[in-house]
Amino acid sequence: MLLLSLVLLCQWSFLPVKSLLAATDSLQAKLDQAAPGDVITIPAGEYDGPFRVTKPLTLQASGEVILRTATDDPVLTIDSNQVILRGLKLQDKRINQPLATLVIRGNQNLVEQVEIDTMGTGIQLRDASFNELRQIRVTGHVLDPTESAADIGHDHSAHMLLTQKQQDANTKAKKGNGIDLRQSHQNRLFGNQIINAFDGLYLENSHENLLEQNQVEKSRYGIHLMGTSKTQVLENTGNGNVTGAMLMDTATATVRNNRFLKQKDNPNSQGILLYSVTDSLLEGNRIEGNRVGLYVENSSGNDITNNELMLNFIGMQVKDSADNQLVFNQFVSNVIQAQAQDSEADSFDGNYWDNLQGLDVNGDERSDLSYEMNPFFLALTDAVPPYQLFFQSPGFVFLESLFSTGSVQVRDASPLMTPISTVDQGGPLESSRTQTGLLGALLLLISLTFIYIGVKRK
Amino acid sequence: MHMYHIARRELKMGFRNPWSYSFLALFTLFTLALMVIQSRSYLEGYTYTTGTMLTLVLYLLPLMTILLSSFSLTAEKEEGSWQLLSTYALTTSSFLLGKYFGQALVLIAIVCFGYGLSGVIGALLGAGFSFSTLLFLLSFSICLILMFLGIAMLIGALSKNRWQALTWGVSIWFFLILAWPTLLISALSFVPYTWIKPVLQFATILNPAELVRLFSVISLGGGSIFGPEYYKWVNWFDSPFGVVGFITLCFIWISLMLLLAAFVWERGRRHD
Repeated sequence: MLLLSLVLLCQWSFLPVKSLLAATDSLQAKLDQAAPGDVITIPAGEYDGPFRVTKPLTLQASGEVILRTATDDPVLTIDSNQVILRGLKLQDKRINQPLATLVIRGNQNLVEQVEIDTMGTGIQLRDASFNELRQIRVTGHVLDPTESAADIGHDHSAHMLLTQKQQDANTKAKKGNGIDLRQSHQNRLFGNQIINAFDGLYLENSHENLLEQNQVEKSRYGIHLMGTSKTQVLENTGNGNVTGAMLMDTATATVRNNRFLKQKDNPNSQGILLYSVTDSLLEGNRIEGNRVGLYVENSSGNDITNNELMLNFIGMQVKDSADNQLVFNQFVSNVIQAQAQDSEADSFDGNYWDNLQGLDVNGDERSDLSYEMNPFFLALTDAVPPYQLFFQSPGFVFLESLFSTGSVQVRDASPLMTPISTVDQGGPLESSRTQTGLLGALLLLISLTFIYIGVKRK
Repeated sequence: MHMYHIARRELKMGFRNPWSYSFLALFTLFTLALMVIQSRSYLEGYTYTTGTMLTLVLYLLPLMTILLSSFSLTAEKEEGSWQLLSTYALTTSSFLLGKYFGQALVLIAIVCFGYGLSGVIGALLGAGFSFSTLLFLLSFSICLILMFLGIAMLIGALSKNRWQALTWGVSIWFFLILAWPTLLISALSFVPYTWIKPVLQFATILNPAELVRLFSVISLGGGSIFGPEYYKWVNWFDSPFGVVGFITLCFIWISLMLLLAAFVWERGRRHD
């Protein structure tokens, strides 16, 4: 892996330096000489920076414009308000630098259709508000070393380390975040795509930001909120990250209509994780094929409604939480639908559980038998994590059922009898059907041959 | 050569034994029932359906294997056919190996019949197992059969008659399948915390049902559910080395059981 990342680095260094002309100096000079409000069209070519914009300018590319940095400074720094940046490509080979490829320290800037290839963090917003970042693609080029569980676990201080290391030829490059906001408020991040970063979108102590239709893949956390309020997370997609969305110490967030898929390969993976989250709304999210679909701990006053949790290993885990409303969610085909512990004060009502043997006596479409969430596995593995090895062991299922009766449990008092919407799971392909039929016939033939050999008289 | 004849004879006896057909009927019914559950969701990987199927197969198949095969061994003693056979120049090892392979064929034929029928019916009805699920279940079942046949041989060698074999068989099945986590959890409360994980891992390797289940869940892509504690272990199992390692482990396990069975049988032979 390390070798690969070296190869990648080398390829970068040997890119043809076709038009790295004196233009480099003159580009910064142009930026310096321009009057506020000027539109600067940068001709196609490659430019070595660092570059700095200190006044309201519009920078746009004519053809393929690639900016790089020759020093330890960011490729491009925006120290101004009302800058428009459009259609550029930024490439950054620096490793383990505290500052990102593109640093924004101003308000009301617009960055769009920018492509960033980086060995660190893509974009940093520092004390920057009212900015709009749209259709940006950030690709992280640090390839995974053989990761150990501790490196990618719940350790939230880990990413701080990244920004403190000095560059050293022997230091291993560490991933940076895709787009990283601190003390930055009311920004709009729309339609951006982040691949292979540390955290895709990272927001810390930032309020009232809008994250809409972004896509994060192959990163640690897709969306990571730390100490934010009134953040809106709408229609984003997380695919194959360690965790789709991680909300921590966050209040009044709205998380609506997002899709978090296949966060399952890491032993700490979740679709959405809420830790110490209050008064937030989770609505209409599709959480599919994750290790744990939705994990809620230490959170209160949240509305969790109309989400689809399907084909996860564990649909939902709720721990030490109170006063959350969980209604009209659909739990379909999760290996374990839900586990809850010490969360009796949460209100579960009218969710759909596809493995419930419901009974509707009075015809109100609600089952009169409640759905119970067994706390045994959570409690046991909380005390001794190695017992997770017993997950779905037949004997453990048996033991769990022994402990299920009598104790105080979190339960959905009136689960739905029918799903709210028919969840499309797709049918088997025609070719697969034929294959299955042929395999079946072959197996039957083998079996009958043996039986015939056995039974016939010689 | 002897081994081949014994296996051939075992196959004949196996399919003239009404027990085999009742197990065949039971298993077929059971797979058809599984197919009905499965038809609610087609997607592959580790889901509710595959999880449930693994659990149900784990309940039924080991018991079936242990009973059918240990009875076949004790029957040789009870019905006197071993007394007759032992007058020939027949080594214990070729006798037991022949029994092992013969029984394996009988059981695999039973399982093939069940899965085959539900595969065909499923394809005709347009619902049911997908190709990969069927193949997965088949290999999972064959693995279980081969492992538990080893135990069955040992039980058969140890027991004097069917009743003893039944008692032994059911107790061992109960111990390995049902009581396993309960016993381990209570036993491990007496060891220091840091020992728990290694002891669990070691114990898992000793229990064929758990070993096969673990490997199956990992090959379905569900290894991460066992948590960070087993990250490296799971990754190893998921690699090509893991597959080779798993097969080697199974092989060692079966050989050990057969060796023990042969030892016990041989001792009995000298005493006769």
